Amino acid sequence: MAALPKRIIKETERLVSDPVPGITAEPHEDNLRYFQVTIEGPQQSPYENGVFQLELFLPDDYPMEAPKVRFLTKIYHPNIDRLGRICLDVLKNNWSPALQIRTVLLSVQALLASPNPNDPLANDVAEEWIKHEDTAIAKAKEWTKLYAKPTQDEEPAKE
Amino acid sequence: MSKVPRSFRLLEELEKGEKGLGPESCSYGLSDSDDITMTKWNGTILGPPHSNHENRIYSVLIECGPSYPDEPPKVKFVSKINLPCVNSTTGEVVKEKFHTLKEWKRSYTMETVLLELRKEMATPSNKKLLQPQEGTTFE
Amino acid sequence: MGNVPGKIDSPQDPANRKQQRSESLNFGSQGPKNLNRNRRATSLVGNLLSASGRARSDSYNSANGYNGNSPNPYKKKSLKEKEKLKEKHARQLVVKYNETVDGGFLAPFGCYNFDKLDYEADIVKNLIIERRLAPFYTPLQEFDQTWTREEVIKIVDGLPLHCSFQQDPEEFEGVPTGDLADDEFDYLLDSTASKREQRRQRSKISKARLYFKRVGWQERANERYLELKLMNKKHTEAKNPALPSDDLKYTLYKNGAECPICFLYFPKPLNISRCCKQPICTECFVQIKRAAPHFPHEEVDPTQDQEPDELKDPNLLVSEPANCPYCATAEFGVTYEPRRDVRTGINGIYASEYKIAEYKDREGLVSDSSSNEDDELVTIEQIRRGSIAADDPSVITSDSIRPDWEINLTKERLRLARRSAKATAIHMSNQLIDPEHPSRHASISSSVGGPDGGNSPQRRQKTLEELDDEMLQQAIKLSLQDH
Repeated sequence: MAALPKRIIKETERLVSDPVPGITAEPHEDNLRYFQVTIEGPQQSPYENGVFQLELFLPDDYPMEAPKVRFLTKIYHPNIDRLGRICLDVLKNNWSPALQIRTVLLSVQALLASPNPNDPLANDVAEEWIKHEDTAIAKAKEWTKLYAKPTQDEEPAKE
Repeated sequence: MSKVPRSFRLLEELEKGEKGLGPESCSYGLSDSDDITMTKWNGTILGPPHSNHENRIYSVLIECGPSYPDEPPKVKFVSKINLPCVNSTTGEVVKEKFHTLKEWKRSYTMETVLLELRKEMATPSNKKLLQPQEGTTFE
Repeated sequence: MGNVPGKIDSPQDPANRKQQRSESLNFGSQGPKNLNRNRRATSLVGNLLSASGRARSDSYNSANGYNGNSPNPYKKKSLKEKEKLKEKHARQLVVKYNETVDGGFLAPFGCYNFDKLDYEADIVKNLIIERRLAPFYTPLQEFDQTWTREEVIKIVDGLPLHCSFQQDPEEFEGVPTGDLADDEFDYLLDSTASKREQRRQRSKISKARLYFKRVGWQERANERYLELKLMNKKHTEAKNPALPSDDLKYTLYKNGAECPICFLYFPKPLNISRCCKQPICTECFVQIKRAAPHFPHEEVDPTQDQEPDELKDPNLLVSEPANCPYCATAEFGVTYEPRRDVRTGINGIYASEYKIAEYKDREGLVSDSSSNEDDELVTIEQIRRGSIAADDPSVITSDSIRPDWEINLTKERLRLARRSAKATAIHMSNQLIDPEHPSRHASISSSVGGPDGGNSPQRRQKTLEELDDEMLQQAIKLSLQDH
C-alpha cells in the first residue's frame, strides 16, 4: 500500500492535538484513511443532547476529492437518508481541496442546526418538514432521544 | 490504492445499481432500504441468449457479511435453476464450485458475481441443461 | 462521484425495476414518460444536428485553434491512436535531472495519481521555462528552521527525482503485459472472446503496460541522476552543469513554505492565486480543473416528481470553470514571480555554478541567519497587491493548461444526444410498425396542443406522423454516421 500522504498525517495529528469542540474523529488502526467520528447535536436544534456516530473515509484522490461521510446513527433529517447518506454541498459540488476533515465535520454539524428541506435527500422527511414542520421537529427530537444516546460508545443500533 | 471500507464500497455499488449504470443483463438493489448495515441484496440475472435460460429472469439473494469485500458474499438463487454450481435443493451457489467466489478478489463486486453467474449459464456444457419450469422457486 | 448518490425512496426491488426497464424498451409504458420522450426527441434531433454541425465547422476554424491541417478533435480515434497519445503524454511526465529550471523540474514529483495528471504537459513545461509558473520542486515532508547549512544540503542531496512507485499494484495483478519493448500485443488478447470483451482486455493490458513502462523510464532517469551525483562527489572538477551547487540547494530550501493543499514544504516563492493571493505549489495547481460535464444541480420541490438525468436535454450539460480552492472565486488562476537571483538551468546559468551572492565574503553571516535573504523574498512576494483579472496576461488559469475542456463538453453532449437518439429511433420505429400500440395513442392525443388546439384531430395526426417519420430518419442517420 502506498505511503500515507503528509497531509493526512498532519490533519490526523492536528485533530488529536487541537480537537474541535463537540466533534471527535479517530482513524481506525488498520486503515488510517478511515475515521470513526462522533458529532454532538447543536444546541437549540432538535438534535440537542444527542451524540451521533458517523464514519468518514478519505479516498485515494483526497484532497482533490471530498471525503466520504455517512451517519451510522439513525437520524430524522431532510438532508440525511435512511442509510445515513448526507446531502451537503461541500461533500459534492462545492468541495475544495483547501477544506479539511475538521471543516467538513463542522459543516455536517451546521447542517444539523439548519436543515434544508428544499434540497432533500430523504424525500418523505423533507415533505413532512415543509408541510408540518412542528411534527417533523418533534419526530427529530424523538429519534435523537431514541437513537443518539450519549452513553452509547459501541456500534449504533443496527436497525 | 487505498482500501475502501465495506460501507463505502457497498454505497458505491448501490449507487451504480440504482442508477442502472451497469450492464443491462443484470441488476441489484438493497432488499431493505432501511438497513443501515446494507447486508441483504436482491439481484436479477437475465438469462443469456442461445441457451435454455433465454428470456428468463432469475432472482437471487446476495448477503454481504461484515467482512465483505475481503470475503465473498453468500449467493442464493430464488428462482429455480439447474446449474452444477447451484445446490439443487436450497438454491445456494456453492463457493467451491463457482470460481468467482472460490478465487474471490477484493476488487470483485456483486455485479461481477451476477455477470459471472450469467456466463456460467452460457457455457457449452451448461447452456443445454434441462431447466425447471419457469417461475418456480426454491424453498 | 460523491458519496451521496441517488435517492433510496425509489422502488427497491430490482426485479420490478428490471421489468420497468424492459417495458420502456418494449414501449409498453404509457403516460408522462412517453410525452417526455417525444418532446425531448423533437428538441433533441434539432439540437443534435446543430451541435454536430457546429463541431464540424469548429474543427476547421482556425480562430478556435484548429485549422484545416490539424486533426479534427471530434474524429473518433482508434484504440491504437489513443494508446500512442497516452504513451507520449506519459513520457512527458518523466522527471529528468537535466530538465531543470531554478532548481526545480518540468514534471511532477508524483504526489497525485498518474490518472489525474491529465493536463497539457507541453503547455505547463513551457510556462515553467518562461518562469510564469513555479517549477515542480521536489517537496520535503518537513522542514526544521534549526537545521544547519550542512544538514539542509545533505537532506536535499538525498531527494529522489520522483516518489517511489507502488510495487506490483493489485490493479494489474494477473494482467499479462508481454514484452514491453514490443509495440504489438494483440497476441495477449483472447481471440475467442467477444469483440467487447477483447476491447476490455486490451484496455486493461495497455494500462498495465503503460504503468510498467513509466516505472522503467523513471527508474532509468533516477539511476542516471544517482550516478552523476556520485561522480560529482568523486571529481570535484568538471561538475555536471545540470546538478545544483550546494549554494543553490541551500538557498532554495532554506527559504521555503508549506503548500496549504498538500502540506508539503517547497522552496519559495510558490504560485499565488490571482484572487486572494494564497500560495499553491505547481503540483497541486495542475490538479485543479473544471468538474466533468454535468447537469446543473437545482434545488427541487420534494413534492414534485423529478426528471431523471437521462431524459434531460444534452444541451443543458454544463462545465463551469474551476473555482479558487481558497476563496471560491470563479476562474481560478495563479501568478508567479520567480526569484531573480536563482535563475539557473534552462534559460539560466548552470545550476552547478550558482553561488549565493557575496556568500564567500560573509559566510558566517548567511549561514546562521538568512534574515537578509528573507527580507529580499518578502519584497518579491509583496510586489503584487490586490487581485488580478483572469484574463490578465500574467495569470495562468486552470483552463489554460487544459484547453480541451470545450471539446470534451461538446463530445459529452454529442454522446448523450446519440444515446437518446438511438432510444428514440427504436421507440418510434416500434410505434410506426405497430399503429395500434397503446403508447402511440397516448402520445398523439396529448402531445400537441389541447382539445382546443384549432386543428382537426385528423390533421393533427397527419402532422405528427410526418414528424415521427422525419425524426426517425434523422435519428437513424445520425446513429449511422457515428459508427
